Amino acid sequence: MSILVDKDTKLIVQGITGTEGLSHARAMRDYGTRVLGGVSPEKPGERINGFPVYRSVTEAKAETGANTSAIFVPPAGAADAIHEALEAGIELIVCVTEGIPVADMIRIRRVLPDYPASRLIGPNCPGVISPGKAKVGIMPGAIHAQGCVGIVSRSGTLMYEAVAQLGALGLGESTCVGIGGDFLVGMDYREVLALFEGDDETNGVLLIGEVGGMSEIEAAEYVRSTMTKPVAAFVAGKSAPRGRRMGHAGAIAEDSASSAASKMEALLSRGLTVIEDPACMGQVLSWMLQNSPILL
Amino acid sequence: MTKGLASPKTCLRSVLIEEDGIHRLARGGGRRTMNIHEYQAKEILGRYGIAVPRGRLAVSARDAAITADEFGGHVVVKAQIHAGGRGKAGGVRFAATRDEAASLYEEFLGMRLITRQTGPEGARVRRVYIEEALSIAKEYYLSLSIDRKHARIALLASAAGGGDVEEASQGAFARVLIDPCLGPTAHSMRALAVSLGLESACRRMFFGMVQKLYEVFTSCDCSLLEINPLARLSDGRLLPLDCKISFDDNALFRHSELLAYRDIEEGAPEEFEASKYGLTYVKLDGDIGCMVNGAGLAMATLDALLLRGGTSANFLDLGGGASKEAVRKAFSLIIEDRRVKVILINVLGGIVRCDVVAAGVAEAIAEASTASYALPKRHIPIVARFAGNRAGEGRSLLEAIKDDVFPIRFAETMDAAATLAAEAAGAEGRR
Repeated sequence: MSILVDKDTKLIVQGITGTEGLSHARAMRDYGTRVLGGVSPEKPGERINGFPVYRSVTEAKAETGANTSAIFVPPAGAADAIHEALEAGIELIVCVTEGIPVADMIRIRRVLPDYPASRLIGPNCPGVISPGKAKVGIMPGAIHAQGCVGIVSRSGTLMYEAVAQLGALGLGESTCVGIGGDFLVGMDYREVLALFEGDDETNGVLLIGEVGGMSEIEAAEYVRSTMTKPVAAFVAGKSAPRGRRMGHAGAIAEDSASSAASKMEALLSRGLTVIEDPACMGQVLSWMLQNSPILL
Repeated sequence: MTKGLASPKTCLRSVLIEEDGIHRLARGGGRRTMNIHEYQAKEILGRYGIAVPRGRLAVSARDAAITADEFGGHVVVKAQIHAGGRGKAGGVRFAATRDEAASLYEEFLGMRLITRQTGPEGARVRRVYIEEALSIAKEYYLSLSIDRKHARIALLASAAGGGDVEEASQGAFARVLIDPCLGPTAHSMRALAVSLGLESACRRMFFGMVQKLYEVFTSCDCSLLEINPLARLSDGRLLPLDCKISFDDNALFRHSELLAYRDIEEGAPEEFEASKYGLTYVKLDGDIGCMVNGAGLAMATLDALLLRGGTSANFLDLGGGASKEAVRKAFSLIIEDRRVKVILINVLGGIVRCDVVAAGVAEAIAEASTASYALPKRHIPIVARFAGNRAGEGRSLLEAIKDDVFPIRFAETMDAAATLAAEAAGAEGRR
């Protein structure tokens, strides 16, 4: 089955006339995703690289029947693009854009509950891929293989690293979800875990967290209370000094509770398999799946 | 909406963690927030109609004395650095005469002030602010920041203001989450004022001030606005005695007026240099120079090193689409760091192309060997791990480099790369 994206994904790209938007629209199409067109208020009616360009998301949805949108709009207009997709009734909105002002995301999060049929992934995320079916985002498709591991991560490159490690062991993924490294994002770990729990193709989950915030711990609480599938977790930033932002807007160890070490401990105490060494994510997953169902 | 003193402790706790985090952020590092000095923050408050104590940035000891005269002799002399904790560290002192003000100015200027937020190296004082001394009846704590869990602006207040606020128990804080559609509401501010123990005459003033502070916060895209202490004066006025503001870097594109406040001399110069190239650089304590693409992988690389007995000299994220120039700059920053014994390059090419990274590294090495600048002539082994987008091409490019200072070894996996780098650093240490 996989989650969020699959063969039924019908994608449009907001900001398709930009360099990034276009090159990734092509890459997603090359991967096999049904990219039905793009949106650009400036250049409606054009065709670029075979993609029809529409004036608005509403128009694009009406013409193509799109259910998913990938947003590559620059930061100043990205929150507006998210809102436009919500208003148009797009079911899955993947916002790749990095650098959206936090104030804009406060407003988006304020209105998000008004659109219960829509889901927002990101911003500042690599997107979602169900290997062999569809990719909506910027991850390199070639490193992925179809399999039974679900991955949810704040970081893009660390997710790729995990995929590479799994691939070296002959393992693949059902779906990989990059939820984004920003201070405020749409879907969180817990919501993605709930989808993995209900997915018959996913046998185990790798949660990749990092310093800052408490969402990994909230997710672990869900694992303990509800989840039946095994979950392993790595939390990046053990060596991060407190109070410094480590690249991601949201990656800052605020105090001992949001530091990597204490998060790992909190996760361990809630029944997750905690991976200490990021170079061993693949091995631990492989071990966990062979021994599943397991509770450590 | 209102989470007053009666709110569950666990709930309050999570917010305090965030609160404290943004608080500590004022150390001045990393991208994504711009910090400013106290006197600049007060200038902004003044512009939004919030009364602040009379004050002036002194340009000389004589100027400090004249300012003291102007303010009636009694003044507070305040060292201006971006870090907090100045009061306890001796960076905020009372002067009873013009001569005392002048000599404090002399003492402060150029000194290294070590506070709990600066780290042991301290921060150099380059600006000194002179402010009128006021008679204080009671001190409060007040801040606006962004609550991550609820995605709202949070107002945090306490009747335990001043330098002791960090030691104050969590139960001493009241919090109100502000709905962006409504702003601070009268009823929630009334409840907050009561919980703070403000007498009725003061409550209206308090509400007025919060409304204006909220306006500053939202109009300027702040990530933190902290008033500590907010003072109730003996004459009844309510005045912010100290103010710290940080701005959301992501929003600076719509605030060109704020860029003038940027003080690039605060914080490590490498970090500012790096930011000009879209790189994120954070200086750390170890001896392995790291160059990685992506924040998560960069953090994980540091963690992997640590587990293998290595320590990193820096966190360096090349970012999503690093150009050759950015890579060259990144590499130069690493080799100019005299502490670096070994360099670890860990690139998993997604958007980033390994061959572009390799080309940038090759250029930086060529540049270093022609030695137009003073590179300490020494031996710095490089461990490179390329995977993903054009990994083979990148490796070939680096293999072509034959340089005595920078012998290069390759690793296929993160495990091997971190192990090699940690071992090499150990070996270099024994040289």
